[in-house]
Amino acid sequence: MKEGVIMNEGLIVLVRGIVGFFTLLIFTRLLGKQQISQLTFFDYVVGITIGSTASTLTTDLTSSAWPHWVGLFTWTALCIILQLITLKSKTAEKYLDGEPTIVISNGKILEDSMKKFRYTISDLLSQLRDKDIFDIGDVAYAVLEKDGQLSVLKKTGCDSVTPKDLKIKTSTANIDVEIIYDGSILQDNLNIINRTEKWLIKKLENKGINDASEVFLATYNASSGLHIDLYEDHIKEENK
Amino acid sequence: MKKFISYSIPIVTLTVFILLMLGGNYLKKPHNPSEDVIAIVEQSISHAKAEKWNILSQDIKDIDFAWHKIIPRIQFSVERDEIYNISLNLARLRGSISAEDKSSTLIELNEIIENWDELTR
Repeated sequence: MKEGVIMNEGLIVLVRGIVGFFTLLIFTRLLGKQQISQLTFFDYVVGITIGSTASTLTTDLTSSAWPHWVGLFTWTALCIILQLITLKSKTAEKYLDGEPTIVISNGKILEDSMKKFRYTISDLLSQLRDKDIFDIGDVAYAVLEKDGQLSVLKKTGCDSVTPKDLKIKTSTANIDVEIIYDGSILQDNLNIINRTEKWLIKKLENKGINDASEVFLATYNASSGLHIDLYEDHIKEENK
Repeated sequence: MKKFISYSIPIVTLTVFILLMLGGNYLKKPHNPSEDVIAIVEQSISHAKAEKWNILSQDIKDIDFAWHKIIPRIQFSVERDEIYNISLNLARLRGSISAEDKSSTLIELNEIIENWDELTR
């Protein structure tokens, strides 16, 4: 067809792809930071629908981009409205998102609660095994969360021993701070840990490293100190 | 300032996208008389009624020229099939003019007007 030269379908899909991609990026950022594992079944379906609409917006040239974009906007806006409602009202949250249900109480399976949510015994056993529990008798309470995850409280006698039980002194847990990444010193992070570049270079020299560019990743932890990972791993030589 | 930029980037981006998707109505308007598809079509209707076939042969070339100037501008905002519909009207119009078929010519010309209105509706 003559207009094929002028109307470039590839170019149209490219432009509509850019529109769909960045619209989806902006809308999903607006929707918040829920992780996939925390999604309820409804959130999951909403995610699929929004993704599918964005895909149609990009490739379905038999309709203009605008109606699809409006669809994308409507679903996102409704989700945000529901999120705001559930944030403000506890009753609405219970009604819209459901609530956690106890499925095991003092080692006894509550069949009625399970039936209500069509939750099978094999689902329960599999989720218990996933939490390293192979004996239902060890469970004080098991709660089926809104997102389908199982939270388990073991009986006190079956719980693992902790350093606290044994009265062992432990050091304070600290978070690692990246100070070199991909050969570049991260000055901002050095400031956070109150250290200077001079201190870092001296530490590197002590370990026989002449330049930060040899380092892939260096992290600092207040309890365990400096951890350095070089680009050259020398794994082959060590294996020989 | 940082907050202002972080808010303005998505707002500006979404505004550009909306303008791009809804801009067809504005972009299909002619920038000069040689791009005015509808004016030429209306002129052709009066030529067809008077059965001026030689002038109509030139008219179809003018409509074709104007149409091909408009397509690149509106291609991101309209349906592909709507563009094809007008192009098909033009192809059939070329046939009816060479056959000097008055009724077919008038049908096609009026359909072009309808398809043109439908383009960004």
